[in-house]
Amino acid sequence: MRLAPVVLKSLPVCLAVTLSILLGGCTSDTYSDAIRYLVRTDPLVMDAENLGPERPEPDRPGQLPLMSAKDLLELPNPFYQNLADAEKANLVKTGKLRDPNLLTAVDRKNLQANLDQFFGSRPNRPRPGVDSEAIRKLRLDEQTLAKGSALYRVQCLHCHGVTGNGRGPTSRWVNPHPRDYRQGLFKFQSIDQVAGIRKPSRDDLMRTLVRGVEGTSMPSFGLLNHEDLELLVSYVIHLSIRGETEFQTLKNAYDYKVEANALVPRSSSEPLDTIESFVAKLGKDWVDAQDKAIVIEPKDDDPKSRAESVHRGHALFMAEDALLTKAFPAAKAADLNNLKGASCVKCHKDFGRQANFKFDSWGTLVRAANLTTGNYRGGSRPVDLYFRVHSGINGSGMVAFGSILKSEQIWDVVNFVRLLPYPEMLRKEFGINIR
Amino acid sequence: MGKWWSALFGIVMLACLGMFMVAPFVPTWWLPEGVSTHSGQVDALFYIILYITGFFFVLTEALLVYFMYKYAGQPGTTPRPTEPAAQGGFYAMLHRWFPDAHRVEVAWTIVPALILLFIAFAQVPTWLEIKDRSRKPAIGGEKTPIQCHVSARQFEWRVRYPSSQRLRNWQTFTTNEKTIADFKSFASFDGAKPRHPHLDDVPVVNEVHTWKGQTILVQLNTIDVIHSFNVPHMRVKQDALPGRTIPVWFTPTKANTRYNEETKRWEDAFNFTTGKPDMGYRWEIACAELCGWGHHRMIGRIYVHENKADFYRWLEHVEQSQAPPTKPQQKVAAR
Repeated sequence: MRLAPVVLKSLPVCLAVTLSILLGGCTSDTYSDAIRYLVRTDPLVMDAENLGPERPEPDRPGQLPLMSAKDLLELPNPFYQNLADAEKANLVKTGKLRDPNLLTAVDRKNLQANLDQFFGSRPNRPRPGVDSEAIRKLRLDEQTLAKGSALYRVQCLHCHGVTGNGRGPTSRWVNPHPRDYRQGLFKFQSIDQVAGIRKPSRDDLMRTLVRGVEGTSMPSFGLLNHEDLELLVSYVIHLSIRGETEFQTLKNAYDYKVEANALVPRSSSEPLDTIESFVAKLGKDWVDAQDKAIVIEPKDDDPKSRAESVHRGHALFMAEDALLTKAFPAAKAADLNNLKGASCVKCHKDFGRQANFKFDSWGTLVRAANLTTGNYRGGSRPVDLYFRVHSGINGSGMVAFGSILKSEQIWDVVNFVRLLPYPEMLRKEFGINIR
Repeated sequence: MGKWWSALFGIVMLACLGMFMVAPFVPTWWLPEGVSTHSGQVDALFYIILYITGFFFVLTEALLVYFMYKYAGQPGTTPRPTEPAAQGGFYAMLHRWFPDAHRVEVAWTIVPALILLFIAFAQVPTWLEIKDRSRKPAIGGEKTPIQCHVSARQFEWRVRYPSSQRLRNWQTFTTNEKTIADFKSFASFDGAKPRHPHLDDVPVVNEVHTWKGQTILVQLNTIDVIHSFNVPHMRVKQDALPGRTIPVWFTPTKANTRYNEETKRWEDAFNFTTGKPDMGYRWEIACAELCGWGHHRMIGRIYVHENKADFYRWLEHVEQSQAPPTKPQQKVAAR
């Protein structure tokens, strides 16, 4: 058999295929121009607390927990198997969810145009949108964002999505699901949240990038060089501001009309005005939060005071009268009552082993952490736990206890919680029996 | 083609040989520089095996090429059997192509067997030194190691160090029974969880630190699937198996980490001989067991400080960033 002619004939084809693969791969670190920031289509959670009752099980046998509020709208949803049909539709009609698909085509186009005007229409040419002070303090200039965006495409996009919606291609296989930045809520941070929800600092986002989130699929990116990580932080802030502007606009500048089943602009004023005011406010919020870090006061640390501290932490955690009076002999009845308000065990039932599922601000089902596993998502350093107790975890239902507990009492809780994974140690060294 | 086939095979053989001869002199083509005390022994084994297999590769290829040239088939001829077939049927056919040559067969069975036996015994001392638990560095032994706990997970290395105070105790009071018990308790695990944790343990991610000349004992486990702790520069590779804690130890002979005054961080990839940053001094922990979609990015680094003081400076720095500030201790009156 003569091979040569066959080989010669197929050679050009082989070359063409190889070349197209090689050349196609060369531009893989930039976005195609076809990729745009689009107005969101998944529902907004308007009233997270009343989405549904607490439940002991996520109630979706054989499936991942709810990924986003969108799953609540998809019918037939096994989540609602036991409820009356009428209630399915009620989620939107009663205003608990808001479906952006109900915008008219014109309104949607306007909103898209207005958002594009501030933030750019494509992720390969993002615009900061915010004022010059925010640009300077948060490093949101166009050059930084363009570089950050290119890096984001390689490192983050496949989970966190083009607009930071936490719904990238791989997100479906990831549990817990990736974070959606578009509400401006960040769980793990060191900014004082006692006076109300604040934005995280750049350092907080950096810490999450460098250390990863243990117990989830978010790995550490500490091996990228420091400057690259700074670029990513800037771009995440950009996505968050863009997403939250869109969120707030859809939430506040439109009304849901039940009869028409449509979203209509609230006032006659131009939507641009509202968007502008939201952008300005968000830029200011982010800048203001940067220097509001939680202040930690020095405290005693020797074995004896530590043992006492663990006992006080136990009392505060359980919020039982007998324990509290024993742990705080000098406190007045009113103070004790006040301390009872910090009951950890109310949500972390049985130290979290029997915690109920609740809806969080993203419309997904989450439960209070199981504190007996020794796995802390926000970081396992003592200060990390302090931050969590002091300022809560935004969006998750864990509130800031900094208003009820004093600095020393927060350390008490932290010292106790850190021993929970080791009941043997608690029993032997501190005489505290937990089952 | 005829006799040209032999030329083709000869060229391929020479090209292979040439690449092996050139590769050691091209920086990134060969083994990375070995920077642990046992890397010399591992490399020696590698070279012994390479030379043996290299010699036989050249020998067999040369014979192959020679016979291909000498007995090249010509168009129109049929192969001639070397020995008449004694039996009929299947055996006749077999014998026609594979004539019996007993002595040669015995030779090519015994020689490789002897070589394999030699390799099997020659590697024992090295293997024992790297892997055998009887040689595990112990407190109070010849070399008191520092300990850290590396917990692999998809897709990172989570590392736990003891507090600097505890580490200093291990280094100083090597004969104190309490210290020895404390040293051992660090590596006693309940699944993936330390059985006797200390509240002041220091967690870091993707970083294993030690200092030049100091043996480090890594207590390796995994919290999910199988991973493999592979540090090519230290000539260390150990699988992390679910449910088991496996000790790994090595002693670096060179440093690569210094405190950068400009960035206020400890940075590796620093060549102390030239006093300049050098990527050859970046020593990675690469996961060597396919563990999932993020396997390729499961990379840690080995930071070898120049001396003990610098290492403790780093550890105390990390400690301070994680713990509450403490009031200055009040002096206790001496009795």
